[in-house]
Amino acid sequence: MSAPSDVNVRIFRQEDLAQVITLYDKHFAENLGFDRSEGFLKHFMHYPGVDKNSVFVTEVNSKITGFAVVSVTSEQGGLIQGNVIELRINDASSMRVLIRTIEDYCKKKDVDTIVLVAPTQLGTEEVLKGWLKFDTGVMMAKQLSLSSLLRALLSAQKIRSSYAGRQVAFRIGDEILNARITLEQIYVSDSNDKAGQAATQIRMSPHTFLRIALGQLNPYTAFVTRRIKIRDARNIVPMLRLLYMMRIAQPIYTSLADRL
Amino acid sequence: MISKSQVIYALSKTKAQLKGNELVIRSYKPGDEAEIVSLLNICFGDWGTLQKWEALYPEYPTFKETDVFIIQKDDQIIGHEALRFRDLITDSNISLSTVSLSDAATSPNQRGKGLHNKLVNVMLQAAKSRGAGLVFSWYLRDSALHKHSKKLGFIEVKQPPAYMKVMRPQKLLRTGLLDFLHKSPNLRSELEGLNDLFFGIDESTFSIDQLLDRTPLKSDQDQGKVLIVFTERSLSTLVKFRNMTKRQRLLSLISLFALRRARITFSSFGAFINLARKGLSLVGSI
Repeated sequence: MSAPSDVNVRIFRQEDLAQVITLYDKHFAENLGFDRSEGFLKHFMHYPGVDKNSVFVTEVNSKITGFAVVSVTSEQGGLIQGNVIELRINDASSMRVLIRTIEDYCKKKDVDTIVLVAPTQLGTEEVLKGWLKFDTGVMMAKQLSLSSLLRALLSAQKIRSSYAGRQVAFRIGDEILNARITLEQIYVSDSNDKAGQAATQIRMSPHTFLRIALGQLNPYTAFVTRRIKIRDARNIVPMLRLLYMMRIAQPIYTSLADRL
Repeated sequence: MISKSQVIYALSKTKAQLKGNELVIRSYKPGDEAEIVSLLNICFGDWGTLQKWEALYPEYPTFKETDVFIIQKDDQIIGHEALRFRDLITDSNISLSTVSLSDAATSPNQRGKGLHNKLVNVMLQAAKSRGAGLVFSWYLRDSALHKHSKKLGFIEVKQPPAYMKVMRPQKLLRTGLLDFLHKSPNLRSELEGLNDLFFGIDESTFSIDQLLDRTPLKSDQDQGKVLIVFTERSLSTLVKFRNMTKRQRLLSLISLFALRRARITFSSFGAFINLARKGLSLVGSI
């Protein structure tokens, strides 16, 4: 299973797991995605239709650069489908080699269609020329626990360093939470906590907050259109900048395994 | 944050509300599996096997028995939906606890009674009490669940598209049609009345009888054959069909015929009249 370039492709071995996790860690340093700790990766490798010959890795100079898990399933009407349930690749050359290997494997398994979600920014269009692009469904999101969401969104390093020592109250719908930002940690407490009460209060609806958090609404626009109200702040610009920094970048990369 | 006692209160309140209708919402317990899989297969067509359900739920890394919810009526499972907890790792390597809703199913004869709504409310409260900051869900565009999720405050999130390589176009067309007919019972009953209807991709064709796996219907009078043939180039549109709105589907079909990526032929004038008679109801049920 060697390729014309420096990229080598082979079947995954147990001892590759640490390197595969490192591959994901590298991805998470710059991108958003669901947890890929050991438990999840092992789970995907034991999913129905996956066997030990359908988990592939690519390597360059003995360093793992790509990982794919293929599940072959029988669908409605007898359609045999090759589902690339997990795909993580570092570079376009590895992707080209890995996709070719997946195609060869699926041909041997006599599959009728192959489906995958390609990582973004890797020259996907060029590598997957001749493949049909489609949507598997609409991904929808809703806010649940405000304290969990605030704690995670405020924990970004750039926020902790820029806003250390600040306290802000968030009134999202009927819920009021005080957030205290320090260099090390974010403390979120409910409005009954007198000691933690903040002078500045940012008020908006849960819908507006969710749209800001998911990067779909600019806080400056929301403020001008009166969807955000800020109370007792000497200068509203830092508060709006804080909301802007809290957003989660999109699109969220979701593999087929995430969508199952 | 909602406390556990509030969730128990909500659950008992829902149970009490439903008790009048002999319905109970409860967590999954071992022994329910076969009945759940049977319900999913009724609701989704060929959903899959017990092995698939076990891989998706009990074997999921964060699984707890309280993650799967069912609605029971007279000791029979008539509803199912599950939570899957997983962290979202943000760009700064920070974990946000999230949950996904999956495999929402209500028995076809129990739909329209607001059961799913009650189930989702209980599930979202349970997920919130366990500290999930966001809930995600995947729906077919324009489906009843998709529309309902917007009313519950869900908003659409961008995700990268999927890609498909087609090795055998005919099998894909067949599966796509079966899946679509399962979701559109009205269209299925309209098509069932057509005796000699054939579908095809380029040269290879199959009949409606073969598609529905039934013995050919006998008619008093032979009305002739109707053949709908798609070209391979139409597949790029057809694979998106499932996730389109009704309007988009109709416009796509019209454009396929206009661009000659699909054609319809009638072996006789009788066949044309027969299809034309059903025309409006067919268009309405697409």
